[in-house]
Amino acid sequence: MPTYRISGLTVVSDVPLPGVPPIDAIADDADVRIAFGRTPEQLEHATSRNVLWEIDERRFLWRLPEIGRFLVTDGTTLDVEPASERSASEVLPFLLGTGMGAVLYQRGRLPLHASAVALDGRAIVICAPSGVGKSTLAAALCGTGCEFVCDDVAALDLDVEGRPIVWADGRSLKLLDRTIDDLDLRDAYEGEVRAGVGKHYVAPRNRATTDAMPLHAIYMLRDAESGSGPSVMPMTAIEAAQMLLHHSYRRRLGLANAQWRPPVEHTAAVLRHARISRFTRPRDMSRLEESIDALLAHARSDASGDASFGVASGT
Amino acid sequence: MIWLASFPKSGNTWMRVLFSNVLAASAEPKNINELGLLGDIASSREAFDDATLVESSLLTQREIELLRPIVHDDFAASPAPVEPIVKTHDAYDILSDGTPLLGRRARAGVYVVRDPRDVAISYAHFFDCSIDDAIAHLSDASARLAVGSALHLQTRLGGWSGHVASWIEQSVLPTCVVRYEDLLADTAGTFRGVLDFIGIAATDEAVQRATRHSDLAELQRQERQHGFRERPRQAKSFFRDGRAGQWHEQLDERQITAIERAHGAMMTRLGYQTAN
Repeated sequence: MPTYRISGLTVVSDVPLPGVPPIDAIADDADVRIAFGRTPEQLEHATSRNVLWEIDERRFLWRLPEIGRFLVTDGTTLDVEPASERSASEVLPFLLGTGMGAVLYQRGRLPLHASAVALDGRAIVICAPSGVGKSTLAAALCGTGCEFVCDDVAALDLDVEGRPIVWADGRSLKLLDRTIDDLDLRDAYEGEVRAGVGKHYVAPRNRATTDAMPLHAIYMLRDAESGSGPSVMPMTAIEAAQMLLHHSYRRRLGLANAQWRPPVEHTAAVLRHARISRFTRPRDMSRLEESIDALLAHARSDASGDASFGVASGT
Repeated sequence: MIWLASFPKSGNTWMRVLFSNVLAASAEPKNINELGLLGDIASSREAFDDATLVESSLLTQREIELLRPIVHDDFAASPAPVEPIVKTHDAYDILSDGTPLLGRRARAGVYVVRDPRDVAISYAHFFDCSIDDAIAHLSDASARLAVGSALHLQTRLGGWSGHVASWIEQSVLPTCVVRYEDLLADTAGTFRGVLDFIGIAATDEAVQRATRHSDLAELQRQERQHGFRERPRQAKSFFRDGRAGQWHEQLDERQITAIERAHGAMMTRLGYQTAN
């Protein structure tokens, strides 16, 4: 069975996973198993429920009309039942996104809706809602020498000393056609994510060679007003904590899961050890280089690491 | 939950500012960038993705439309400190299974309509296109907003006449239809009628104060002072003119004829006088 490394977890799957390079590993030792088969229509004792998903202490059940149903259990199994007439390939992007997000939550990690690159061996995380340009920025940073860590899901965890780390995702970028051309990445094209939706897998330049790296900084990405240049502003601790909550991957799932696995230690470690800032930049692609220079200059401005340059003081 | 609906550039934002000010009942005008109306806009990708746990950019248009009623009803049913008043530019569409695209849980709608001859002028400024292009878009039954947008889901407009018809002819959602020109001529009185229809209590003094806090001069002053987050990059300003009847000065005969030919029946139905 094909085996993969995703966010620090060894994953085996019934079918090949797109946008993820397979690894040589023994399937029996896998952390997570993806299997296609029947799933329950509902959970008997759900503690959180809405029309599309429900959750209990061990399981997350999620249904997408005319696409399929997904069941994640104990952070170890991911069962998928495609809707009739749907092939496995049509449901895989959702399994790899929300499904793996549920796995990370069930395993006590803190996934952020973010991209990340490594600068001098330390992770820079870029948070933003979909469509604001975090994937584009991450891809562009990799063109300047940063290493690619992840796109879309930044899995935060703690090392043995309780310091925050970011697991390398292992997956490819998902970019729009025009972004692939803007960044001159056509030679790294790997295929459509799903037919007809206009997003494509692109192999990142400079994929990180280590599984995890210390978290150095988090930037919350925003568009600048027309005519304004890039700028970086530190966030207060309260703002940073709210931002981490707001930018949790599949936030509502994170909130529901937090009743059993509150990410208190992770949040505290991030606030203590990482620089958290707002990065406002012009959306204009002609100013991308200027934005990258500003971001890298700020990220490099404290080469000594954490503590004194964490979040801004005050509330 | 209340839907606040309109074809683009027809007075939706002004109505939202009025609601925000009357509900806040404060001594100062509400900040136009912090209106505090829960729900923002129906086409928000962020809200959709948040509710469905899926990245909408990976869904086909059909898959999105299947999920939209679920998303909107989920929002309407969620506990909230105040009743959401949610903007939409969607035509009132019914899916193939009979479900309204906007769901069933909203209790009422307010539909703001404006003379399409003035809409075309405002549309051209907002989208930075020619008036002729704006007129063509108003007449294009297949027209959609936000095609290829990273932040918004596609919104079917259906052309101006089609859009208006979809809202005033549906019998699912009790809807108050308001003409922009009536709101301009008697803001307090017209807005009072809207509040009474929805069942929002407000004193005459509160309505008058909300009217003052929402007048065009105040909105323009705020936009000059601190910008307006809904102004697109290509538009010089959002709160631009606001007068009724600008079309007399700014459209030529050919353009007026084109609009009236395409939309004359609906214009007459709404009480707009046409030359033809």
